[in-house]
Amino acid sequence: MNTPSESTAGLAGVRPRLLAVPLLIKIMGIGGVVAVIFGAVIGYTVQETMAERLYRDLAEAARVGARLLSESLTRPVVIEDVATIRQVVRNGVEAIPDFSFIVVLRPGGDVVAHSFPKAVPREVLDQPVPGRSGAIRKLALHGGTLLVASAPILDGRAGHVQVGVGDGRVLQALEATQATILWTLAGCMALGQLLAMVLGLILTRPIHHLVHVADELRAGRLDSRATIRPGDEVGQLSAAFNRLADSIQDFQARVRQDEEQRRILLKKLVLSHEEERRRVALELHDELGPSLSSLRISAGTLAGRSGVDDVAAADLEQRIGQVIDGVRRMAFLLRPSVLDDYGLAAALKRYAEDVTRQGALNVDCQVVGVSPGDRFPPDVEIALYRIAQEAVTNVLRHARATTASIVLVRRHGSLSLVVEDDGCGMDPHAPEAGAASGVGLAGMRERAHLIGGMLNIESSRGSGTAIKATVPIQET
Amino acid sequence: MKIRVHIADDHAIFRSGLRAFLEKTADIEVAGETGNGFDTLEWCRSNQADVLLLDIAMPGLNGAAVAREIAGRQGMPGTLVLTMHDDEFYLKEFLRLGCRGFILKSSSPELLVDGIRAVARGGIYVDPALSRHMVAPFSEPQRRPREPDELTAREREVCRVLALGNTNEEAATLLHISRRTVETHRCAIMAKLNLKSRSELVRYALENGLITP
Repeated sequence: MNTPSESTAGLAGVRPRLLAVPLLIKIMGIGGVVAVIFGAVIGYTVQETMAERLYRDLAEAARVGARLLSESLTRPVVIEDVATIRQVVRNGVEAIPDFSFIVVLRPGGDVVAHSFPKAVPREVLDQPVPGRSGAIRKLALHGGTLLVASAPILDGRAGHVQVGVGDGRVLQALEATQATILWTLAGCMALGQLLAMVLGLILTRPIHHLVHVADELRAGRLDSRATIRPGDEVGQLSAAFNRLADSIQDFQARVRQDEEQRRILLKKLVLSHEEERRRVALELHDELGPSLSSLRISAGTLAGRSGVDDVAAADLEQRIGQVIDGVRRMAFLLRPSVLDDYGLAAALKRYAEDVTRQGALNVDCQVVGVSPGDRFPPDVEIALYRIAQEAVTNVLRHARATTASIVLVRRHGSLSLVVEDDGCGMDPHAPEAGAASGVGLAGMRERAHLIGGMLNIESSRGSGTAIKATVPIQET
Repeated sequence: MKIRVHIADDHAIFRSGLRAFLEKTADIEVAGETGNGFDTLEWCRSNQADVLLLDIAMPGLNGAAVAREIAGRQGMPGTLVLTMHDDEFYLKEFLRLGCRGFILKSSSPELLVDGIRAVARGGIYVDPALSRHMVAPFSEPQRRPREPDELTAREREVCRVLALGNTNEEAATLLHISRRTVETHRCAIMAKLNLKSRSELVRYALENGLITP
C-alpha cells in the first residue's frame, strides 16, 4: 500500500511550500478564495430561487389563461360556432405573447380548433388529457420546454382547452441575472484583491522594516531601531524588538567597558611588573655587582700576605668572579640595560648572541629599516623585546629547532617583529598548542594588543613556526 | 714616576677596595676619588692625573656625560671605563667618545693593572671578554657578491617580500598567489642560495639590494 504514504509525503511537501509563499500572496489568495466561494454560493442560491419563482408564475399564467379561455369558449363550443372558436383562439395567441399554442378539443379528443400554423403536432395530441383542471404538464416541443395547462369546458362535457406557455422569457431573465451576478462577482473580486493587496502591504511593510533593522544590528550598527508606531501586534513586536536591541547595546557597552577596564588594569600590571623587574635588575647590576667586585678586589689583595694560602685566595677570587657573572646574567634576564640605553634593535642583537652562546640554538638577528640610534616608545620596545624573548623560549622548549631568526622591520609606519624557527612546527588550532605554549602565545598576543598591535602565528606540522608581531608607530 | 689614577665610582666600598688593591701595586698611586659625575668633572679640571677609572652608572652626571667632557681632551687623564656592562654597544659608544680602555668589573683585578698601564702609556686596552666584538667586523666570512640572475624574477620578488618581514601567508596575499606557491618558491630560493634561515634570507636581500637597510 504505497498510495497513502505517497500522498502524505506529497502533502508534507506541499505544506512547507505553501508556508514559504510571501505573506502578501497569502492574504490575496485567501481574499480571492473567499470571494469565489461566497460569489458561487450566492449566485447559485439566487439563480435557483429566481428560477423556481419564475416557473411558478409561468404555470399560474398558463392555468389562469386556460380557465379564462374555457369560460369564453363555452358558448361557441356548445353552439358549435367554429368561426368564433377560431377567432378566440387566434386572438388569445396574438394578445398574449407567452401563449405558445391553444388547442380546443371535443370530449372524444377531436380537435375543434388550434393555433398551430399547420397540423397539431403529435406530441400535443399524445398527451393524456388531465382529469381535473389546474394540473400542469411539461412538454418538450421544437427544442424548448412548454408548460401545458388545460381547462374543461362545461366541466368537460363540451371538451377541453389546452394552453401551452413557453419558458423563453424565463430563460432570458435567468441568463440576464446570471450575467449580472458574474460581473458583480468579478468586480467584487477585483476590489477584494486590491484591498487585500493594500492590507498585505500595510502588514508586510513593518515586517520588512524589522528584517532590515535586524540585519543592521547584526552588521554591528547597534543604534539602529525600528520606527513603527506602537499599537497593533506588529507595533508590539517592534517595540519588543527595540527593547531587545536596547539590551544588546547595553550589554555590548558593558562588555566594552569591562574590556577597557581589564585592559587598563592589565596595562598597569604589566607596567608595574616591568618597572619592578627594571628596579631589581638595576639593583643587582649597579649595587650588588659592584659590591661583589670590591669583594673580589679585596680577595685579590689577600694573596702574598703572610699566613694566607695564595691558592685558596686565587680560588676565592675566581669564585667571586663567577658569582658576579651570575648576578649580571640575572640582571640581563630581568631587564637588559642595553634595551633602555641603546634600544630594541641593540637589545635583540644582544639577546640573539646571548642565546647562541649558550649553544642549544643558533639565533640570528637582522634589522631592516632601523638605524643604530633609532628609538621607539619604551612600551613598544619592551613589549616587542618580551615577545621575542617568549618566542625564542618557546622554540627552545618545544620546537626541536637548530636555528631561529629574529627579524625586525620598520616599514610604512609600522614596526614588525618576526621570530621564525626551522623546527617541527605546531598546529595553531590543536588543543595541545594551547596546553604547553598556549599561555605563552596568549601572553604574547596580549602584550601586542596592549601597545595597539597584533600578533600572527603561522605554522603547520612539519615546517617551522613564524610568530609575527606588528605595531603601528609614528614616523619621525 | 708613579701612574696617577683617579677613581670615579658611586660605591664607596668599591672605591676603597680598589684603592687598597691599587696601592699595593708599586707603579700606581691613587690621586683621588669621587662618587658622582659633577665632582669627577670638577676634580679633573683642577687636578692632574694620568688615568681616570670611570664607572658608567653614577648618580647625577653619568659616565657617558663625563666621558664626553674629558675623554680624548688635551690635558685630561686618559679614560678607562670600569663597568658591569658587558655589551658591545656600551664598549663601542665609549670608545667612540674617546675612552681608551674598557674593563668589566667582573674581570680579574690584574687585568685592571694591565689596563691602567696601557692607557697611561697612551695605548688602548679592551677587556678580553669583549675583545671579540672588536675583531668581529674583520672575522666575518667575506661573502662573494652573488650573480644577480641566480634567482628568477618571481623568486627575487618572493625573496624581497619575505625579507620585509612578511609571513608566507602575507606574502601570498601580497603577490596574489597561494601560500603553497610561496613555500615552494621559498624552498627553491633557500636551496639555490644555500640559506638556512629567514635572517640569512634578509641578509642576502640587504646585501644584494633587493631591499634597502
